[in-house]
Amino acid sequence: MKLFIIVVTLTLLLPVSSCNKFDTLNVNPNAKEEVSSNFVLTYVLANTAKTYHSLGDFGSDISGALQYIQRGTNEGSDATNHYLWVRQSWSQFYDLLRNNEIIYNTSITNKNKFFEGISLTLRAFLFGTMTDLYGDIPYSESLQASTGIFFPKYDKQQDVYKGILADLKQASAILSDPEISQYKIDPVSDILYKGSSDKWRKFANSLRMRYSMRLLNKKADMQQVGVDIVSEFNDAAAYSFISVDDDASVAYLGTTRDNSAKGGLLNSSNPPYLFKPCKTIIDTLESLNDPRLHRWATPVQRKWDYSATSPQDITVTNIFGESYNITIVPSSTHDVDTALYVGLPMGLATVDLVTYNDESSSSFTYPPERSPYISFLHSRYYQNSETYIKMDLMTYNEVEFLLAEAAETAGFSVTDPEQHYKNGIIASLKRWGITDGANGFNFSDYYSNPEVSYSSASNKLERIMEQKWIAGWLTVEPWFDWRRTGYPQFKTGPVTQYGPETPIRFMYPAPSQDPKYLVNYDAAVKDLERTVYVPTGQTADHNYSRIWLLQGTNKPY
Amino acid sequence: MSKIKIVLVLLVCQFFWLTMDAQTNVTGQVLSSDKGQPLSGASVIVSGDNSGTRTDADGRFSINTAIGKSVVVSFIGYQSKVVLINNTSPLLVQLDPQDDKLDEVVVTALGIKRDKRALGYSVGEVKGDDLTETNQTNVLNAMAGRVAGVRIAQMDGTMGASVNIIIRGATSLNNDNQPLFVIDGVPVLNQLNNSFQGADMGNAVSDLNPDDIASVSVLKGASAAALYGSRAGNGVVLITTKTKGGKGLGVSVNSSYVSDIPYNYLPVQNKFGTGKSGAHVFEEGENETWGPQLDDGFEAVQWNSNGQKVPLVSYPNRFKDFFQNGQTFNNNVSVSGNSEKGSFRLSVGDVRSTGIIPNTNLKRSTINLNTTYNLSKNLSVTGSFNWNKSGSDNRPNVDGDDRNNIVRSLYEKGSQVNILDLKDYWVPGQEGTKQLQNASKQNNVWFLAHENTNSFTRDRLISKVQMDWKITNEFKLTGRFSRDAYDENLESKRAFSTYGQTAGGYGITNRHREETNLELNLTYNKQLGKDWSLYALAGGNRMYQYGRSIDNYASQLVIPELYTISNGVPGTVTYNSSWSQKSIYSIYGMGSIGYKDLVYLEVTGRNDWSSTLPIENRSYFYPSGSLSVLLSKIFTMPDWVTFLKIRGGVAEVGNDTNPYALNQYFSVGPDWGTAKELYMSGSLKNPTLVPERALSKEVGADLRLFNDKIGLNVTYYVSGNKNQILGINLPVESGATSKMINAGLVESSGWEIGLSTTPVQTKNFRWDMGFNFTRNRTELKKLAEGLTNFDFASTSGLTVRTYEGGLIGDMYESPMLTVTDKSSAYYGYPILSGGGTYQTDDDPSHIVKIGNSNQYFILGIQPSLTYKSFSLSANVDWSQGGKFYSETMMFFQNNGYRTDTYSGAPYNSNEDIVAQIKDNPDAYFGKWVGGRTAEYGGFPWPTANGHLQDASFNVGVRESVDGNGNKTYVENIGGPETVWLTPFTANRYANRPFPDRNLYDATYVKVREIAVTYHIPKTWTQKIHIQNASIGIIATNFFEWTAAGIGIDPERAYKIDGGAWSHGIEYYNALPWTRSIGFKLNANF
Repeated sequence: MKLFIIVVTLTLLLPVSSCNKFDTLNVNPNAKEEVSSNFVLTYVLANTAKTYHSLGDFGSDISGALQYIQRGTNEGSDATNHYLWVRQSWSQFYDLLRNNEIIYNTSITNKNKFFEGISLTLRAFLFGTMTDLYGDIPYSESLQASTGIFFPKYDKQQDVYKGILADLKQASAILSDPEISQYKIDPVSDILYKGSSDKWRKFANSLRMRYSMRLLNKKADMQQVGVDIVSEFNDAAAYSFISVDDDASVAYLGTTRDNSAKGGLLNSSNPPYLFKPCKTIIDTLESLNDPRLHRWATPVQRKWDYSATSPQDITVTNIFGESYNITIVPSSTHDVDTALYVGLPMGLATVDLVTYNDESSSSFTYPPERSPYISFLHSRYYQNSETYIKMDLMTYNEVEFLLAEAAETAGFSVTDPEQHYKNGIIASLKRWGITDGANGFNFSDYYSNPEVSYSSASNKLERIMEQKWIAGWLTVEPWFDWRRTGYPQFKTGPVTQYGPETPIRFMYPAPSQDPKYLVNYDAAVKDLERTVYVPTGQTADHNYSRIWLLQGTNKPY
Repeated sequence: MSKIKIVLVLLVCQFFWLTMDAQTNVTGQVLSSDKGQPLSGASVIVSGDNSGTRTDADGRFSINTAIGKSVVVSFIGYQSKVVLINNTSPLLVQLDPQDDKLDEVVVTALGIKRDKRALGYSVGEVKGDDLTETNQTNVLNAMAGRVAGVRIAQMDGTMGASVNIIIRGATSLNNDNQPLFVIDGVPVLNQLNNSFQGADMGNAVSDLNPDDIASVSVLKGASAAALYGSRAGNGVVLITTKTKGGKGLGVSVNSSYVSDIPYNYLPVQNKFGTGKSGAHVFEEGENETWGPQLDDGFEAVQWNSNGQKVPLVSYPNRFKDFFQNGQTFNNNVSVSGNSEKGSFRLSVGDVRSTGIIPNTNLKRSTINLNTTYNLSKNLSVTGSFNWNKSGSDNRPNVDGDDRNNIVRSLYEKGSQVNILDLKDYWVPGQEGTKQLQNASKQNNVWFLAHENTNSFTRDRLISKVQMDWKITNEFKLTGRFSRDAYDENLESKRAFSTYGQTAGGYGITNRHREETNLELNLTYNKQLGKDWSLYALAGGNRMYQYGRSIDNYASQLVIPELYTISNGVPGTVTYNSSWSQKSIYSIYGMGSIGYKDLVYLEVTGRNDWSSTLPIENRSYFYPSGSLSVLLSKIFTMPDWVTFLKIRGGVAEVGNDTNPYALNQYFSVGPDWGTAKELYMSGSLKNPTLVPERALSKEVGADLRLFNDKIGLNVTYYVSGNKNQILGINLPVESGATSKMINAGLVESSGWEIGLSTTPVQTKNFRWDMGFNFTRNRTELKKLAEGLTNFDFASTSGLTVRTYEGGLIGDMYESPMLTVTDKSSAYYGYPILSGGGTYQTDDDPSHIVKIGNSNQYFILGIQPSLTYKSFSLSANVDWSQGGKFYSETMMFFQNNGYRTDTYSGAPYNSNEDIVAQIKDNPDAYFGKWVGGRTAEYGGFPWPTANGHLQDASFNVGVRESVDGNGNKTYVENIGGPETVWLTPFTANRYANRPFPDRNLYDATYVKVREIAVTYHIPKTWTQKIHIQNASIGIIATNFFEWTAAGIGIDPERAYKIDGGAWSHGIEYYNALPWTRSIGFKLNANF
């Protein structure tokens, strides 16, 4: 018996002595601490595209500010239609920047110039977009939590722009290195340019043009901190986008929720009928006889007609051969919109949204968000992926419009604004699959319209900006241009939350309540300049405060 | 079927066994030895079996037994006596009174049975009988209100819901604060978050069969728990299962049937139909009911009116028409035996429930075997195997955010929808692919219940092999190997045409978790001389945990109604696999010295080595000490003081962290076509973590008066948790969203008072009362360098946040923007937006505290009455104070379901509204004015816009800028400048942004259990060879009163949400209340 007990005891004790295994128990079998930057690059590119695109996509606050989109029912319409903008998170941006910084740091360690150039470009793109939206942002001290900086200061907007231009310049220099081709990245991972350093270099330079022009009204201030935005622009223009093939665009794949467009079934079980094209863009396109209208919107299902006497079903076909069955409906009143394409007017009172353009308002039988009297977005916006639905970070047509503006502005070395203006329009049409001569479209006819042609414009800048606004459909860049130039001259609708003007910045995300954070936040808020539309009692962290970029410019109002 | 067979076999065996003994009838009388009075109601039990009786008024009894057997005679307040039956002559038994309950033992850490008097800390105890009084299927539900200092709450209203148990306050900021569960020395895995695809799969402790439980000890503070080490920081629940006492063979059968009757549906209005634009228009597609008046002749095309206009009518019984009575069958059979060579107990249990939501159920089968074999006089081997299998074909989705939530979907149906019209839930001809819907944004509730199911099975084995060797009289060695392992299989199905998932979906997850413990304990127990006693223990433990999971999910399916992963649409299948392990090695020791049974001093120490901590910090030691002084033995006490003890303890418990918490790892994102995405998440790990320390102090007293007629124990405790390993939130711009740190000191303090009394005791009647009082406050004493506040949750403008020095559970909101310029004529007026709606003040320094979610106290009351063969017992739970925010009520208000949404603030329609508001602004500021129709106070619209008279407004001033850029205020109080809104909009802006509008008192009183039992007289039962039998009527959740009075159970606001606490926030956790009534049968052979 004693022996038995000793054996049992020893057996029980035996496993306790196996300590070697103990030391390796905490090695994670499920994840790695270091991986190739190729994988991280795909993450950053895909999500940068989504984040940036969503700023201007239908339903965004800015799509309402740009009068591209109105919400057809009152679901969330206060933001889009009446400028009731709430605090906007920037966590997506910093999440991407954190990962981009990993690519950058690894590129330095591994001496990979290609990754270095890409990560500098993306860093500038992300920080640039953020400062455009918010004003002062955490920049120089940001992304350093691992060294104990939990509450980075907000840098002055001017310093952020300076840093962005420096990064882009450096990126361009690195990417133009004749040896660059020896630094490989995986073309599959580079979902933007398939590993073409040449295109990345053009992208970096095109962004330099964007940001140089962004700072035009602040030329003198930038000069004081040693940045000559004119020579930056001229330098960058020498190697920028030269065709739509250079566009920095990511196409949706449409295979999973993650890689599909917002309006497709994978992301929207309920098709996004409640997002209506705004009357402003529809009427503009209609009056210019612009073929892009047919890419973006559908005719109404029921069209009013003052002369008709009884309802009549007809089929209309747009220039791309797409047919729609519509009903001509006789109308006795004269305050209905009889156009084939009807946009929802800007800023209607909520009570008037559902019934807009419907005489029989109290007795309609359709789901209100599917009013047959208002145009829908084209059905391509209800697809998971579609040829023309892409996430544009920057396009060739933007570069051409920038060149047109530069040529029109004293000091830049660019000439022939009309050619660049024309190139911009052609590039935009091409972006939407419209080429001269095809589908019965004649560019000369289109261009000869006095509302289009450059020569007939009394205000050239306004003309450029109008076409840039059309070309920038459902992107955010036209909003930044409008802020800077005041063009196009938008009129607000009957209802606005804070005054008869459009908001000019994003509110910061809800600040951390830590005093150490609030010191930085308060300093940034102090740098903002209140306009009269900031309600009494609210802080200057408001959608109607001027960021440094707009201060002293009298733009957009 | 097979169960019945087992019972029959057992009955037959039992019959033969019973007939083998020569039965004889023995009579006798029980008297008190001091006063010679007969003792009425004393228990006389034949040892070796459970047969017995009680003495009558004269202390007399009569019992069937056999010569050579012995009977145990016991009576409260007296020492028990064992009497051998030598012959059939009448017995005279004299019982000695107890001066105190010296023989009272309690199970403490490591299963050590200790004299209660020796303990320097408070241990809560619940007897197995109390747990099975009403045959609740989850042991934790049965414990609610029974132990002071312990708060138990069911997380949702479904049967089988996870149950949250918090001992002495939640002091850990970011884990679920659940105690360690130990069953007969085997630590078992349990956690609070058991959510899968929005359904609650119940916590693992619910796998236990309460019928197998002999008793539960709750080790509340670190003092009691220190020997259990790392995981005992939140306390320990020690469960002792039944084993066979006495000799011979016994069989016990008990069965119950309970019906769950839904009875308290949230009140909703049935006057207005779906829509949000106003009463002039019917918008069936919406979730809101701000539409046309019903039963009023309003005609509209409805979802099932074939395009024809029909008058809209209300269906006020839509909840009753949907819910059903649930039912639970609970059957248990146990057989046990005992001899010199060993003992065993084998039990089989089976529970089958169906829920109040159609097509939901829960099943549990358990087999429990406890055996001990004595190899020699000093050596015994124990084996125990507890196998159970729990499962459900469908658990309802209870996630408030999810349109698959049946309760939410049901509430969001307008009153004009006849829920019964949706019962055949497929569109005819499109069965399997297209559900019948009244609105495209709404799932059909019958479809959800029958097609979108969430099922699980959990197969669990808790096993143990233990060897006890009594080396000498003083030394005893115990070796134990134990293992708790379960495999869980979780499945969710989403049929075609589900809202948000048109092509259906299918998810399947397999989880395996196990823990093994190898433990060796050496104890030494010795009386040193006349006055001193010593008890010492030294031991070691090796714990190893292993977990693995495989998740597969197809977010779209190709072929309808085929639920396999391979049926996933290409590109829509996601998969994940992972496993993890951890180990803790420990050595520990304990010593207790007693002097003359007057003073006891106990010290413990334990050192752990955890694999999860950095090598340099992975070893940590922590001690405890406690003292118990029996004052009633030291000092002369008045007669009526039976017993008085004071006690105190200080203890520390160290704790480690999860595996792989030290280094940064890349996560895998969704594939972008053929490109793999990897990214670094924002949670910053920390390679220099040190162990957490839970420090606990307690003092208390145990007092018994009037010969034990009154028992009182009082404890005051302070338990702190410092160096917490905590993921603190960081502003994302720092490059991290959270960082693991060692931080803070969170300190709970509170009072626990337990009181038991026997107010009345007569010959046939006895009345006992038990009270358990709990009061706890948890304070965030210190957070971390550079941080001042910790956010727990935020929703709809409400932030649950605690500042350094503040209490856990504080709630904040941003106030309404008002005119603060005292010189203005409009000082105090709300400043409205240009759209005429209230605004919140966005200045972060202006946030205001609106309440705290903690109760002032919780009081559990357990009355028990016995009259002859009848007994009645109840369990009442009273929770006083605290606030909770109901997001359900907010949405009910926002969506116009509530009956108080017909009108805004009341006013006199015959008088000028402007004057009324100016005269009494406080009655209107912050509210909406107007109504759904003229009848309900709506104003005429200034322009004809097709609306009925339902113009409404928010009250205040708007800002206007004149040509010089100066601002002026424009009155928006019903005059000509007013911006008129629909009632929906006016109500929305007056209420939704301000959570204080839906903040409620969390006070409630619940009668959790009532049991009326009738013990069938022996004379009847013996005829059928049953020793004793009882029949009872049982009820759980019989009655509930809430101070809020809104139909929502405040208990539902204290659940865990994805690993984080939702302190005091309730969101669509609003099933109807259910009252369970049934009966129970119990027989012992």
